[in-house]
Amino acid sequence: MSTYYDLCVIGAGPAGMSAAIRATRLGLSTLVAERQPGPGGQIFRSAESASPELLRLLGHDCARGRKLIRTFRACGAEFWPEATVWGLEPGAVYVSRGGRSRAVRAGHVLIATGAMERPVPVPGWTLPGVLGAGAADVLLKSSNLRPEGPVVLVGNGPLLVQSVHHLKALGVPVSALVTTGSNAAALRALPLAPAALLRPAYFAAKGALAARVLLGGAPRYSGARDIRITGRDGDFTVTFRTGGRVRSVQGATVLLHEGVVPETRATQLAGCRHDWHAKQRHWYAAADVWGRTSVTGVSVAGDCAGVLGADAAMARGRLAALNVCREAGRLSTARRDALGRADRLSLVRIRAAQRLLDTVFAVAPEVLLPADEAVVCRCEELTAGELRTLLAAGCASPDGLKAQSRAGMGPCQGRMCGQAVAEMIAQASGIPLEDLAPYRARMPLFPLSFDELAEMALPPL
Amino acid sequence: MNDQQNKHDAAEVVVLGGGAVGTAVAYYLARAGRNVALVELGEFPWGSSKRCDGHAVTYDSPPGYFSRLCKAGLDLFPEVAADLDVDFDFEPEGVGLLIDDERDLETARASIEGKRAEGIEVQFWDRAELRRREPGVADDVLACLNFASDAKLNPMRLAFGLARRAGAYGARLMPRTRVTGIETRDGAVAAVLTDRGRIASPVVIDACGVWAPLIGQMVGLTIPIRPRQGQILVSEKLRGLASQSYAEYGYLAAKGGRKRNGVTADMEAYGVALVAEPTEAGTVLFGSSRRYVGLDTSSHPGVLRAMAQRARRFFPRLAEARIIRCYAGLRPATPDGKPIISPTPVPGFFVAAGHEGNGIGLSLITGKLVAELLGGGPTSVDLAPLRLERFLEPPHAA
Repeated sequence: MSTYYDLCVIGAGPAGMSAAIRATRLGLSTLVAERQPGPGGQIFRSAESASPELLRLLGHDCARGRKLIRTFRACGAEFWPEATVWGLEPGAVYVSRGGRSRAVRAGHVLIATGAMERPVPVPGWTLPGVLGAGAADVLLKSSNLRPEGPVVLVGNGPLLVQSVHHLKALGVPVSALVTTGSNAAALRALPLAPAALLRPAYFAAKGALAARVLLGGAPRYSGARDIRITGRDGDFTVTFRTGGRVRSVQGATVLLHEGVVPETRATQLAGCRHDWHAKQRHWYAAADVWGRTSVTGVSVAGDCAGVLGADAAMARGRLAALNVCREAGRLSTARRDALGRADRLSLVRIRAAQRLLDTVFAVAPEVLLPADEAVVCRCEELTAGELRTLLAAGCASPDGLKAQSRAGMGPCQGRMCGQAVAEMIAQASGIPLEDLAPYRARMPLFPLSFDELAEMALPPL
Repeated sequence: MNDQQNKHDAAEVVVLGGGAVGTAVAYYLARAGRNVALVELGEFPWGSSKRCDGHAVTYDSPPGYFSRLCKAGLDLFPEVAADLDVDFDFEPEGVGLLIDDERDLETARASIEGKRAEGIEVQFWDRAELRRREPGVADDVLACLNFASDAKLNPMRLAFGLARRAGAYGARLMPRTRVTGIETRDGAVAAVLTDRGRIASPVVIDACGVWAPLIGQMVGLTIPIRPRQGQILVSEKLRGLASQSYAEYGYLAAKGGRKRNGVTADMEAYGVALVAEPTEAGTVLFGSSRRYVGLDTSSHPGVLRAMAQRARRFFPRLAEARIIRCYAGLRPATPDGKPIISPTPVPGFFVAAGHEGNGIGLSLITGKLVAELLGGGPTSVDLAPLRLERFLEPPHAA
């Protein structure tokens, strides 16, 4: 009953698609499982079906996304859209598709689950009408839904800058940009600036974006702390402290964004080793340049192995596929190395540039520490204050706090609260965050029904 | 050199293991005024007590010594619940054994008197009564043997609360501490060595569950405990599926070697039997499985599938309900299925481990008995059947 592929790729973003294209070209039978209805990942979401207006707005990103998707569709890889991988073990992946689950046996598993917006709990972040800037971007790309203006943007990171640009181009008024970053961070990044010269096109484009933001005329505040959102959908007030003063701004919609973090639940479940990114304060799947993780037979590509963006994801996908082909006996080591040379070089340049971005947009640890009244675990509706009471009573690890509070035991399995919880524990206990193991990932990664599990097709014992 | 120079580096008793059993032992000792240190590699709790269901029951043993021990253990919970400042959701609301095989009706009825004689409250619900009380149970289930005083609780909060209260009574709590060795002098326990220093102590209690043998090795003892893995499925919040916990009667019969109705090869191979526990939070925990797979605590989809099939067989309404999480834990199993609560040939080294699936229910009575044992007086339950010697080679004639 089970199906066998030489390679099973989880995620059809730029990394997963690029890997599948390369792997099939070199003769591997390849399956790509993707949760969304179409390929593209977050960045190329709905690029295939984008309206002319959206195409104009997204420009280059959309065009190259369409090209990649076209090549991917024609490459011969089996593509399963709306397929959720909920379980992983050596040599097998458990996939739910159309309400039915099955085991897919795979010679090699490539995890390319990308990144997600970092959830940063602030009071009011659970109100309807408050959403992530990235989530708003997805709504725009997939459903052509635009947020009701005026919009207040709050947070930090390059995507926030991009959101301002998109909103302006769509004619949605922006009432304020409230950043948690500081001008000092930009100064700290100066010594790294020459790295940007290695990849001039990218920085020219992003630099122009930033300039347009500054010229846009919307009030901009930096170094914001103690952010609170009150009101209701269509009529919000965002208050914050900056430069010793408390300020407030109004908007119909609030978009939050504090950078993106690797989506590592699949790599955690697979048992891969993870490393800690001190500047961006997140875990990422540890891998070598070929995407090899600490687990034999499991590779990674793209942002789940460290956030580097779409160009890097494509290069990493191709490199990972080359190595899987080598392990499958399709390529000699010398041939793999030769075919991978250009991508390895471009990755060196991208990594250097990313160091600059990571510094400019370094996340301030205190921004990640929620105020007592902020709901941290949305599934169980637990506030930071409630969790801090338990921390004071003796919990000193994410799994320990989960056991006592139920934070992280809900349907999202700690996807939303895991990072804030770890930050709070590190602060309360004095244990460095990198020494605190994150919540243990558990099957099923996404909920599934008893019927579906009970009727799953499996090879007999 | 004086071991007692620094009182922080010395204790009358060092308890190793911060699960339900170890924290209960530390709690009873500290409450009795003993100078006790409680050492745990992780937090309270960290091992099997964090990866189990929350049953404290008498249903799963035939009348006799072990059944009476379980009853004595269950009886301690109300008093301890009142003493702790952590609410561990103790609910003696009953656990029902579902009977779906005509052959079991007579044996089930016959077992009632023996259990009642031990003070255990047992009721027999026929099919109509079961339907009336629990409409979610499958129509073809014939009857239910209800153990009305069997309880559920939150084991994680129990162990957390016991450790906290032990600390309030003066116990020194040492979470995140690794035991690296045990020092002996003239063959007797002298100190526990940890990565946070040496604790001089004449008495060590090994309450490390499936890890108890590793500690035993440090003093040259073979403790026959094997990890027996159990998996659990957690449903989304399902108010109204069942008003209390249930298990399948057939599994008790299956232990005697008889095949159950409607059981697949997978279920047999994985030792799958229904256990359903609606938790205070609204989710329902579904067990169970029994496999010897070393210290592996990962979930196995094949086992999970067999468990989902078994759960659905007894609760058809589950069909569309969602599973939101799975986990697995390790039961510390001895060759005869009973715990070891015992002194050992090494003076000062005691074992309180090997409770298999009854560690939560027997945690308090184990703590109480160890405190009595160390007090030197008679114990309230005869400990002879739980001695380690029952597994040791007979001593050579002198």
